[in-house]
Amino acid sequence: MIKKLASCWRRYSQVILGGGLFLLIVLMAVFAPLIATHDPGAYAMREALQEPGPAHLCGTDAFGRDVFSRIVYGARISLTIALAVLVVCGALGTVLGLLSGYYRWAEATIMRLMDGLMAFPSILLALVILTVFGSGIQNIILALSISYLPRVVRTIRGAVISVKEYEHVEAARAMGASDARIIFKYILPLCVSPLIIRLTLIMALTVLSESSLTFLGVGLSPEIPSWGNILSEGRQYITTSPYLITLPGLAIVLAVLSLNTLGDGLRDLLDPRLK
Amino acid sequence: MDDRQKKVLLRVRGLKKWFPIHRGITSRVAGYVKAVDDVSYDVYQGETLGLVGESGCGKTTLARTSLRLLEPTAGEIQFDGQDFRALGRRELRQARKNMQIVFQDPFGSLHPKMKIGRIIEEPLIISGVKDKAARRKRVEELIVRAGLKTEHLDRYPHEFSGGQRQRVVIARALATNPKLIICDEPVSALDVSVRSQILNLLEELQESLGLTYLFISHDLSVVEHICDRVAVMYLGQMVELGTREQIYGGMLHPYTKALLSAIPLAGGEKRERIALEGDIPSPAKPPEGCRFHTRCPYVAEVCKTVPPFEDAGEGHRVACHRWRELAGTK
Ligand SMILES: Nc1ncnc2c1ncn2[C@@H]1O[C@H](COP(=O)(O)OP(=O)(O)O)[C@@H](O)[C@H]1O
Ligand SMILES: [Mg+2]
Repeated sequence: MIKKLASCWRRYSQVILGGGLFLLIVLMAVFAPLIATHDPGAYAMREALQEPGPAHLCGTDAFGRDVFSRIVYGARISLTIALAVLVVCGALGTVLGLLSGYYRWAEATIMRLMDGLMAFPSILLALVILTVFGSGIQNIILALSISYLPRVVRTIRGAVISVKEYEHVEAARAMGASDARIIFKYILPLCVSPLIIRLTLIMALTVLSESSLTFLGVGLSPEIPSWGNILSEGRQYITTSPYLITLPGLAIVLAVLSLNTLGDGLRDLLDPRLK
Repeated sequence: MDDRQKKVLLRVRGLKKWFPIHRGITSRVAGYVKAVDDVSYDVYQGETLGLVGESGCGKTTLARTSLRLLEPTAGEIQFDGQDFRALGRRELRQARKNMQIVFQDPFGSLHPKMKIGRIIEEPLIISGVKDKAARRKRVEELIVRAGLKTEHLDRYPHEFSGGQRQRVVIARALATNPKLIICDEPVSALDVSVRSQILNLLEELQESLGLTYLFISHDLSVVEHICDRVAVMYLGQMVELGTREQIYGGMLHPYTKALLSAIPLAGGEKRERIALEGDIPSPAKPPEGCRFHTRCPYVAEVCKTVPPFEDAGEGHRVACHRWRELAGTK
């Protein structure tokens, strides 16, 4: 019994821990109005730059705004952006990756396009897109999705090209399976692990890039309390009030960590050899 | 059985499969690997035709091209009286239920994330068996037939040994009642101890189900066991084709002799050992004339021209200019 429980725990621990932590962050975002102790946008110049304490759990920033409440509300913005980028990149990247890995005719067009996008550093590409289209949450999602898309496509395509040569795929062809069946039943399931790893990484990068873009002045306007915004505003006070950096930074680290753990756990769970 | 009474299941004529070799940044075609170069053969209903030759001589390519898993460069294929090369993509997929392959590598040929039951069910689903209960029943019947148990159906391939996996592959191959099964070195990757079990299973199944096999092997002693007729390949071409008795009792081609001289006779006495000189030439640049002439101990001037694949009597065919003179020298 205990042995069984132990092996069960070993199998699911990463998913439980990572997923649990991430769920907490999501819940924090959803119930932000209930959790936040203050209005995240309320200025109170007299209470500016207070250390963390009972009145302000995470202290206040240069405008006297409550950092804890800003972090709680910031989860909404940052997670929305990260999840949206994940969905867009994941869906589009998987389809394009499968096509370009499986069909020779698709390879030339898709990969040329992706190589073109890859030629720019992704932050620069996002910067250009935001400059052209203007900032705002939707455009940030668009910009980051476009700049991370090539990595997903390459990951999937690489996996497809190697899996395509496996004999079980040849066996499926010999059974008369259609291309769609081969792609989705025989190739895609074996590309899931690299995809999960790539996507959790991209989600983490998204949280970070959003803050860089904001720092560069093309991200969200300063009133919106995204984690990136909080972080970049705090940078000026890094020597005097380091908590302005460390606490939102901690939120980002925890979110990224939970996603990576969850990703690892899911990957292992999906591998029948590790049962 | 007389040749004329036998029904031809697979008729292949002048089959070629050339793989282009790409060179340089423009990837222009610099030449071709002539993996299969003008091969003709028939497979009769209910027989086992062995296909032997050294590794790399084109056996797998010949089998795959014959089933159009690789598109032929040239040649005609007739399957069960039907012009197989005329089939469109959709028709071809539908025709696949009539021909199956047992692959060499039982570790690679099973989907690692599918349960055994599903793996065996797949060909049934693909061939359009809609009734789920009927499929399940058939799957259970097949796994038992292949010598495993129904409780194995809920496991994954990695939980099985090579021999057991090959049984699963065989069960899958049988699912749609195919007319032809290609066994591409089905036991070469297995432990010696389980080889005979798998070979026995294949023989049993053939007897009870009236199957037709194209049995590929680089090992002539395995083929002698199981085959009615034997075809010998060298560098993308067939050099000799005959019944088991014709080949093992009276082989005519020097290459066949060399291959056979490597295995001991049943009584333990040794055949005269014929050692081959040199390496196998590259299939991208096969020798002019008889392809074997660079390594043949009996090479003569005439061998610089291409020998016909001629009938030496009773359907025994050989591609050698000098087979008549050499017939005395065993
Ligand atoms: N897809 C391919 N592309 C290029 N060359 C190939 C390909 N498949 C096989 N060949 C070449 O064709 C020849 C015959 O290979 P194969 O049919 O696998 O031989 P065998 O099964 O007798 O060992 C080899 O020289 C091999 O390198
Ligand atoms: Mg082979």
